[in-house]
Amino acid sequence: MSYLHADGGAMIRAGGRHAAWPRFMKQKAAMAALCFIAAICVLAVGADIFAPEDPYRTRVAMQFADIGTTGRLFGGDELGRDILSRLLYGARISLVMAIVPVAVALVIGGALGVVAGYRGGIVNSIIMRCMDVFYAFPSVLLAVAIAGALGPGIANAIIALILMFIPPIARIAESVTTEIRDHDYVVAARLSGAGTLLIVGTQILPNVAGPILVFSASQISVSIITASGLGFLGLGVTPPHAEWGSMLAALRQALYVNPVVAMLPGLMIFSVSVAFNVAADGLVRALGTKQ
Amino acid sequence: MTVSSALPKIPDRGGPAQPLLTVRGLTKSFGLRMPFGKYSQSFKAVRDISFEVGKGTTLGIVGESGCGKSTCARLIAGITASDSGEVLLDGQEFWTPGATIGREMRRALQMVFQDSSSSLNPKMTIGDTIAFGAKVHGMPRREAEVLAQELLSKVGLAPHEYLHRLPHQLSGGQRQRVNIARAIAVGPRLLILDEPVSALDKAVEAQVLDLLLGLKKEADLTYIFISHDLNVIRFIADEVAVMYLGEIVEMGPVADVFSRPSHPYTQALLASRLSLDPADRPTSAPLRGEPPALGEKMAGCPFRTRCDRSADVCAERAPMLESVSTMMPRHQVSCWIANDGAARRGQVGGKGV
Repeated sequence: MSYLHADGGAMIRAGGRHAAWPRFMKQKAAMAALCFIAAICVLAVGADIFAPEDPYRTRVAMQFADIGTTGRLFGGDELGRDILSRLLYGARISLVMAIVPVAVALVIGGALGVVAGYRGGIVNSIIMRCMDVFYAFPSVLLAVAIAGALGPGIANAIIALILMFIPPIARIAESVTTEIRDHDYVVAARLSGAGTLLIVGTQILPNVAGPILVFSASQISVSIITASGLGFLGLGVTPPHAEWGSMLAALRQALYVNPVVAMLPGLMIFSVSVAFNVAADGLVRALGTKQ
Repeated sequence: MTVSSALPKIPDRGGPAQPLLTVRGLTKSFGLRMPFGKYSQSFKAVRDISFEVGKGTTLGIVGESGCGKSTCARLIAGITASDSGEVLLDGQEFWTPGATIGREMRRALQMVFQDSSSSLNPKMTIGDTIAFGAKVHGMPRREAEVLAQELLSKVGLAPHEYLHRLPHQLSGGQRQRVNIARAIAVGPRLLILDEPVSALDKAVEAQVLDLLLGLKKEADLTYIFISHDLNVIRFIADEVAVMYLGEIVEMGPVADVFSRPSHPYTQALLASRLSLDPADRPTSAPLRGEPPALGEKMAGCPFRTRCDRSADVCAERAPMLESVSTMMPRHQVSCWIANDGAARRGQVGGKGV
């Protein structure tokens, strides 16, 4: 039934979205970072098994104990608690505060941005001007102000972080959606009779998802650092719970006594945030967002 | 069309004599945004266009870049909202300004776009893209997949090889074939082809044109074919409308317009056409100047700034589209000088009968 057969039919290797994962695996640094993050996650989830000591058990004799002390492998803190155990349990809260705010902001900001971009006009103006209000403040200051106003606590810190991440994610989603909205394939889908929801679901979202995901992934490390900052300022978890930022604040006293021990939470914050950054860069290359 | 699964054929209403598409008084202005100002100026991209397309025929629309061809297509398809005018599809209102088009009505008219890459969703496989419209209209997934396969082979692409590919893995010509398959998947009656072959090289262009001619016969389609290439229009179209600055300046059967172009603009276009005969090539540009700037207000004939033979009346009143002569009622031209009838009423000295 065919009229003519193919113009050349150049064979191109199968690729596209299915090839994103193999492309990610080829990047050694990104894979190492991902493995590191996975290991930290496993240790955090299994803290009950891996932690050698109850993280809340104080022993005055072990105050600021050295690394390698029996029973205090990574040293002791200002109350003689086991730093290793506290780091493992603290990883739970720190990882939650790294990922949850970005994930929630991804959903809310992404939705706001897509709606603003797809509808355009007055809807766009209202949503984006509201986002611009948040931009008037430096983002860290914004988070500190919101967390400060809401009072200390993990939930409040997470709310503050979510509010901090929504505007930039919404802005990315809006600009990408605005660009895609007038592409002929969206017009063609509309011509075929598809409704708005179906068009957004099948034509817009799959094409907006890449850039938003990549940007959000890069924000995870920012989230860790900001969350730790909030903890450091006493706006995150309330004592005696362990969290890397608040541990760092508490261990400041040990800086002159036992600097290596005092630096351990900072080292964790640093290495995990770098790992998330490297993994996010790998994701950018794997998805080919920057073409 | 001979495919095992297809959406129900849209029934014919008015018989063969009723035009499939009737366009009346289509007009669209765009605002030119001035710095620090509101829409202080506007220009008419499409001015008061009316025409009919008979069932099973092809109307070619030609004109230079920016003359409003594509805007015209998008207005007819209801993609861009028009300021005024009406479009009837087989005697039935397709849309009125401000109203939304019903889903069943929608599928009667489909479009194929010029840019074959931006008209395919980069994240959707070819098969899903073709099946999409049919599924929107309630075809079960399985059937839609079968339809996609059959349409792929119909447009000359081996189904098993292309069904699961993504658009970036195809060449421009292959993508345009997919676009055509996607357009006919919902069983339309009218296809608007907006420069479908302009981005393709000549050999592929000929293949796609052949494909279009074959499909038209088989699927009982009517085409509006937009192009700036007069040779393509002559090959594929039955009637041709020449557009200049958002207006139709000449319209008629392809044979008549090509053999006896009446409007000076049509004559210039035909003179600048590429020919295979080296002796038959223009040595100087057949048209001087450029179209007036957007937003420039002009009384009289819009073409007079570039016309060699303008008379007084051309600056005073805009000509209307009227039959060139009573002998050829369907060959219409909008020119005071070329048109006897208009000339008579327009008091152009010495030309009346």
